[in-house]
Amino acid sequence: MTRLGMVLDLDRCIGCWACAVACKMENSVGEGLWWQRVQTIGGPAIDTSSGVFPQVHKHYRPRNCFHCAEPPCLPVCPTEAIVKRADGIVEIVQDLCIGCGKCQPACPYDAIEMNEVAPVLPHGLEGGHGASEAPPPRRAGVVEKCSFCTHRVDQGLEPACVSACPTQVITFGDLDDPTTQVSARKARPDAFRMGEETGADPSVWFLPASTGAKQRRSG
Amino acid sequence: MDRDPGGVELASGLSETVINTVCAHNCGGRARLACTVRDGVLVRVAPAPAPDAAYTGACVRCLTLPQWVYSKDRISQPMRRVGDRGSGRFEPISWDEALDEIAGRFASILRDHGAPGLAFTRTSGSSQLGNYSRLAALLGGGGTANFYGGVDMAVHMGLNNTFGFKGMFGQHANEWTDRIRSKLIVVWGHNPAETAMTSMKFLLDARDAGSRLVVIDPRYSATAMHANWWLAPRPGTDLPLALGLLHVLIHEGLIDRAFALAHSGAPLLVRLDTGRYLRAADVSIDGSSATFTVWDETVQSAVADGEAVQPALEGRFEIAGIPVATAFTLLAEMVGDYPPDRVADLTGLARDDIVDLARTYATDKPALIGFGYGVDRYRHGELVTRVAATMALLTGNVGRAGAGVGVQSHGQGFYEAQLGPGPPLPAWARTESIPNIEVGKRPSVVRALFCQGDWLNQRMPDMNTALAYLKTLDFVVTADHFWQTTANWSDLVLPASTFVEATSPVRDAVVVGNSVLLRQKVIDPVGESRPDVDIERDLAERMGLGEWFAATPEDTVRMQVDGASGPAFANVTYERLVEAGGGLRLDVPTTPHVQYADLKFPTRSGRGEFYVEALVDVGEALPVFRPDHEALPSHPLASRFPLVLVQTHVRQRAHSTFFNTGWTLDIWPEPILEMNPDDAAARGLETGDLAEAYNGRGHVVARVVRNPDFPPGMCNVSEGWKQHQYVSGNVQELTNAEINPAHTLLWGHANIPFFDTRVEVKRAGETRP
Repeated sequence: MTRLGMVLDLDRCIGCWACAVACKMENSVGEGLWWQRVQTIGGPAIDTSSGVFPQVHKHYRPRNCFHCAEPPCLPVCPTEAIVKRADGIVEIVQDLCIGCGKCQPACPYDAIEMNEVAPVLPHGLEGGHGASEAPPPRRAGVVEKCSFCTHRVDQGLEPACVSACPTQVITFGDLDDPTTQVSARKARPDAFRMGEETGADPSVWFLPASTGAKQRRSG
Repeated sequence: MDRDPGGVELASGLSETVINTVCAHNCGGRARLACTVRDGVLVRVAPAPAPDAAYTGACVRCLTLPQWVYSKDRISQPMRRVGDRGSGRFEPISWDEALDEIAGRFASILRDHGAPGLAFTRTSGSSQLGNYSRLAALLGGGGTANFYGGVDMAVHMGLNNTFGFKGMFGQHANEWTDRIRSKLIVVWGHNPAETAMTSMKFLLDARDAGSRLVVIDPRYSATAMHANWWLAPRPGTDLPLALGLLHVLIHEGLIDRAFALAHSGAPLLVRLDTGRYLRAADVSIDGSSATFTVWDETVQSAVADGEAVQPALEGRFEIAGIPVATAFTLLAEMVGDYPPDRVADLTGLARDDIVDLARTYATDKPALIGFGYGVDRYRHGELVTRVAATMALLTGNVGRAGAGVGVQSHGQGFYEAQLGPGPPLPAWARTESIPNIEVGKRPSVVRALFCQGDWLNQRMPDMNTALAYLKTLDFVVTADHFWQTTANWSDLVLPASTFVEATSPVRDAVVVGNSVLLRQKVIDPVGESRPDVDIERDLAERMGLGEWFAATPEDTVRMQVDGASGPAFANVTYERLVEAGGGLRLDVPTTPHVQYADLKFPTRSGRGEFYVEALVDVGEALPVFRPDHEALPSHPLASRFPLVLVQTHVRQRAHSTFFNTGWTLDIWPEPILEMNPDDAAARGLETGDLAEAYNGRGHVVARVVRNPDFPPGMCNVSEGWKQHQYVSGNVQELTNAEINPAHTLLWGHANIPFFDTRVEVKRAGETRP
C-alpha cells in the first residue's frame, strides 16, 4: 500500500509562513482562507512566547490537513464529496459538496475551510493564480482544504509547501515504504502526532522543537 | 525585441512559460525565482534551481510578488500636484508632459544654482538600488548632490577598519556553506530566521550536525529560539559585552600568541607621544615612512616589521627618546577596565556566563562570529565589530574553514568576482555625497530633489525634521510603485515598474551564490509604469545626455558580462548565459570560500589592525566604551523616557517592500507596539489596546502586544510600515539623528543610530504627563 504523508521537523521551523503562502498561491485559495497555517506554540498572540523573560518559550507548528487514514470528516459527508484516494490523500470533490458544513466540526484538526462567499482573489489575479493544473477557484458555499497538491503529486512533484520551505522542515513521501526519508523520520522515537486519541490515524507526524526546550539562557 | 520565451500552450488555450529571475530587494537574499507567466500575467513564484544548487531557495517575501505587482494601489500614471504640497491632490499627466517638465525644471535649477542645486536620493523599495546614479553624475557637468547612506554601515566600518577595506559592504565572513565546518557559531545582533531566511538552513544544518549555535540578542527572536545558548544583554550594551569577552581572553591567557604575532597588529609599536604607529623613518631604522616596526627580543631593539627574529607581543620601550608600546600592550591595558564583574553590571548578564562564553570562543575552534544589523543601529556599532574582529585575530579564528567574523547573511557564495563596467562615463561625471543624517543640518544649495522610492519613510531618522527640510525645496520628484509619504509631498510623481517588469529582455545582472544571474524580463510594465532604467535614460535624452547611455538595458548587461575579467568568468559569455536560461555557475572552487585564507589583510601593515591610528583624534584608536548614547540606562533621557524603542525587521517585508501584500497582511495585519508584559501592566495596557509611544521628537500610535520575548525596558515597532498603516504618527518620527564624529572622520558620513531611541508609552488619547 501507498500512504502519502509528511514529517515536519519543528526544530527547524522559523515561523515564516512560506509554506502557507506558497500553498495559497499554488491553489488559488481565496482571501481569508488558509489550507495551511503556522501556529505559534507560546503566548496568546502570534509570534509571542509564554513565560517570564528570559525564561520564555515558543516554537512554531505548521498545520495542514493531516490526510488521516481514518478521516472523521469522510463518513459524516452526506453526499460522499469527501473521498480517500488509493495513495491516502483525502480529497474534497467540489462538484459533490453541498456546503452543509458537517465535515468541519468532525475534523479534530480544524483543517477544513468554508467558502462563505465566492473566493476573493488578489487584484489582477481574479482568474486564479498558481498552477494551471490546480483546481480552479472554488465557488461560494462549498468547503475546501489542503489536497497535498494532488496536481503536483500526480506529476511526481512534492506539494508546494515542501519545496517552498526555506529551512527544509517538511519531508513528504510514502510512509509505508521503509526506504523513504519520510518513513525513516517517522520512525524516530520522538516523532509524534497531534491528537492520537482521536483514532483518526493522521498521516502527518512531527519531530519536536527540542533545541529550544533544552537551551541555556543568560539574561 | 522580446525573445521567444518558448511558452507551452495549455489545454485552456492560454500560453504558459516559466522565466527565471533574481529578487532585487534590500534583504540581500538575491533568491533565484521561477516566475510562471500565464497569458502575460505573473501567476506564480517559486524557488528556481540555482546554478550552485546549495543556493536554491526563496523566502515568503518573494512568494507574495504577484500581489505586489498587481496591487490596486500601484501608481498607474504620471501625476502632477494641483493642491498644496502634502494635500494629496494630483492630476494625471502624460509621460511626455512629466518628463518635459522635469527636464525643464532641472535645467533652470542647474542654470540658477549649478549642479549642487540638484540632489538625488535612492531607496531599495522600488526596483534595484543604483538607478539614476549615472544621470545624477552627468547633470550640470557633474557634482549634483547625492543624499545617501547611514544605514547598515557601522558594522562594516568596524570590519573594514580592522581587516582592511574591501568596499563598504565587502564580504568578510566565509561563505554560507562553510557554516557546517564551525564548531561554534555566535550569531550576534542578527535574526536571520526573520531577516535572511534563506541563510537560516545553513545555520540549522550546522547546529543539527553538532555545531554549537549561540545567539546574542536582547530579545528572544525566532533565531534565538533555535539556539543552544541564548544570551540577552541589555539593549545597546554589545560593546561592553565584547570588551568583557576580550578581557577574559587576554587576562586568562586564552589567546593564540603565535597567530597574533604573525597575523595581527599586536606586536606593532605605537608612539605614546602621537598615538601613531612608529614608522622606521621616525627612528632611523632601515625602511621608510610606510614601514611599521616591532620590538625584537633577540636584539633588544626596534626593527622593521618582518625583520624580527623574536617579535615582542607585549612591552613598553623607549626608542631614540620616543616612548612606545606594542599595540597589544595598549589593548590589554584598555580592556583591563572591563573585568567580567563590571561588564555584568553594564550588560545585565551574569559574570560567569561572560567568562564561559569567552572560554568557549577560545577553545571550541573554529568559531564564527556572524553579525547582523542589530548592533549597527546604536551609536558605536562599528566598535562592536572591531572588538569581535580583534577577538578572532588574537585567537586564530580567522582565515580558516569554520572561522571568521563578518556579516553573517553576506556570505551567499563567492561574490568578489565583479561584472565589467557599463558604458563609459566622462571623467567629469561625479556626484557630491551628502550623508542622509546631515541633510538639512548643513548648508547646501540644493533646490530640487529626485527620489527613487519613499526616502522620508525609509532612509531618514527624526522624520519631522526631514519633512520640514523637504518642504523648503522648490521642486521634488518621486518615482515609486505606490503612493507613499515622499510621493505625497512631491510635485511630480512617476510610476516606476517593479523588478519583474521590463521593456528589454534583461534588466540587469548580479553576481551572487557563486554564479552570475540575469534579472530577466518576466512581464511587460504594468499600467503606464516604466522601469527606472528607462525613466533615467528618457530624462537623460531630454537633457542632452543620451550619448552616455546604452540603447537598452540588455546592451548594458551584455557589456558588463562580456567585459568581466578574471578567472571566475573564464567560461561566461552573455550569449552562454542567455542560452543557459539566465544563470551560470562561475568558475570558482566548489569548496566553501574562506575569507583571508592567505592571512594577508588589505591594511597598510598587511596585518589585522585592531589599533586604528586614524582615529587617534577622536579617542578611538582603541575601541573604548563611552556611555554616551541614548539607549543606555545612564543616559539623561532615561528618566523621562524609560523604554528603548527598536525596530525589528520582519519576515513579510524587506524594509518596506511588500508592505501591502494581502496574503501577509492577513497574518500580520498592522503595526504593533510590542512590550514586556510588566511594562505594559505598569501602564495599564493590555494586548489590543491602542497606545502612543512618544518622545521629544515625535510619536506613533499602534496596538499593544504584550510579549515576554522583550525584556523590561525595551519595546518594538517593526520597521517598514507605511504612513497610512499607522493609527497616527510614524515610528521614524521618534528616531535619533545624532551624528557620531568618529564615523564622519574616517568614512565621510555617520551611520544612523535608529535604536538609540528612548520613548515613554501611554494609553492613546490620554494626556502626556
